[in-house]
Amino acid sequence: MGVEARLREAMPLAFALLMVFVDLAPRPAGAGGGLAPFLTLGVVYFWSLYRPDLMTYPAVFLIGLVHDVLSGLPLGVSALALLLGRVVLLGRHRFFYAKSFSVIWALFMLWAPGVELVRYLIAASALGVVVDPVPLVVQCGLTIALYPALSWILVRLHEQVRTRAYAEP
Amino acid sequence: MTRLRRASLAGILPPRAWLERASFGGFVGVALLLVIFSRAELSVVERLVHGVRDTLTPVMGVVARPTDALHDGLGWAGRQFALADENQRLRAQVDQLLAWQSEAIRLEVENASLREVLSAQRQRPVPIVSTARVVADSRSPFVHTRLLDRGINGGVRDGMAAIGAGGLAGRVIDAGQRSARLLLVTDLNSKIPVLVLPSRDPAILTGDNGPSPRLDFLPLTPRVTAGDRVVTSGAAGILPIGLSIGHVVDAGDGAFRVRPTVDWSDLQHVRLIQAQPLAEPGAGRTR
Repeated sequence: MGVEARLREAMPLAFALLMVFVDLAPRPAGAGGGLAPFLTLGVVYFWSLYRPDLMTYPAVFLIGLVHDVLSGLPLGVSALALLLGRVVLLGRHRFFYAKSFSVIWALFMLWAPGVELVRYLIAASALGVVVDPVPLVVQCGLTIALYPALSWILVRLHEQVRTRAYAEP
Repeated sequence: MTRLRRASLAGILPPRAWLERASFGGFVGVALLLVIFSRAELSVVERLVHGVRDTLTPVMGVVARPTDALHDGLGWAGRQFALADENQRLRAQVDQLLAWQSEAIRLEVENASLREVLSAQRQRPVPIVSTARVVADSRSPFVHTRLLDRGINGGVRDGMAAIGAGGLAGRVIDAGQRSARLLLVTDLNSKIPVLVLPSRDPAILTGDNGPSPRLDFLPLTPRVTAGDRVVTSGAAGILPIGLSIGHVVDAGDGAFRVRPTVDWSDLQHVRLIQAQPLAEPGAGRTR
C-alpha cells in the first residue's frame, strides 16, 4: 500500500483525536467547564458504521485513553465505554449501509445516551461518587443536536478516505 | 496452507471475526484493569499518563489557540458596548481603592511597630514561580480540573497555588515534565484550610463539584455571616497564607458556602506560587 493510501486510512483516527482536543479545548465557562458537546462520540459512531475496518478496537481504545489522560478522568473510563459502544455497532454497518440519514441519526439518538450512561456508571464506580447527571444529559442533547453538522463534515472526509470499497454488496 | 487453515476453522469461527473478538476482549480487559487500578497510583500508570500528557499538551495548546482568540474577541466586543458604564464603575473603584490605600499604609506602619515590639519576623512576599496557560478543560461533572502547559521543567511543583483573575483558582496536584493538572477549589477532592475574615474563624473549604464549596469544621459557635471574606490560612504549609478565595454565602440550616471570586470564564492563564516554609519563632529578631 502506498504512503498516500496509508495516510488516507489514518484520517478517521486522526480526525477522532482532533475531536478529542476540540471537545476539551477551554471555553469561557464555569468551573465545571460549562455546556459542551462530546463530539468524539459522533466521530466514533460514524466511522464504526461506515468504515469499521478503520475504526478498530485499538483505535477506539487509543481515542478513549487520550480523552481520559487529557480530561483527568480515571484512566480507562472513556476507553471502556467507547469500546462497549463500538462492539454494539459490530456488524450493523451492513444493515445501515445506504440507509437514509434520518435512520442513522435516530440510531445515534439511542446509541449516544447509552454510551454516556455506561461512561457515567463506570466513572461513578471508579471514583466512588455519584454526581448530578444533569450536565451529562445536556451534553448528550448537544452532541445529538450537533450530529448532523458533524456528519456533514465526516461525509466529505469519507469521500477522501474511500480508497477501497467496503461493505459493498 | 492458508486455505487449509481457513477451511479447518471455517466451521468454528472465521479467523477475521475471531481475531476481532480477541482484540475486543483484550482491549476491554486492559481498560477494565486501568479503571480498577486508577486509584492505586501505580507508578507505571502514572508514567504512562505523564508521557502521553506531556506529548499531547503542546498539540492541545495549538488547538486551544482559536478558542482563546475567539474568547478575547468576544470579550473585546462586549466591552465596547459597556465602555461608559465601565468607566464610571472604574472611577468609583479608584476612589474606593485610594481610601483603602491610605488605610493600608497606616496598617503597614502600625504592623511594623508591633513587629518591632514582638521581634516577629516579617513575612516574605510570596514569589510568583511561573505563569501557565490553561490548555484543556476536564469537561466532566466528575472532575473539576484544568490542564496546564507547564510542568516540572517550567518550575511547577505539586501543591503550588494557582491564582486566576479575581482570586485563588486551585492547586497543582499532578505535575509532569511539560504539563500539570490543576485541581480547582470546587472539585470534590479539594480540601483547603481557610480563615473567615474578620472573625478569623478557621475552617476547611470542601469542594463538592458544585459552584460554591462548603465551609466544614467551623468552630462550635461560628462568628460567620454572609458576605465575609474567606482566605487561605496556610495551615499544613501547602498553600501560602492570605490568598483570597471568595465570600461566604448562607446555605441555610447553619451551613455556609463560599462563592469563589475567581473569574472562571476568564481562566486562560494562572499565576503559580509556592508556599514559603513557616519561619521559626523568634528567628526574625531584628536587633
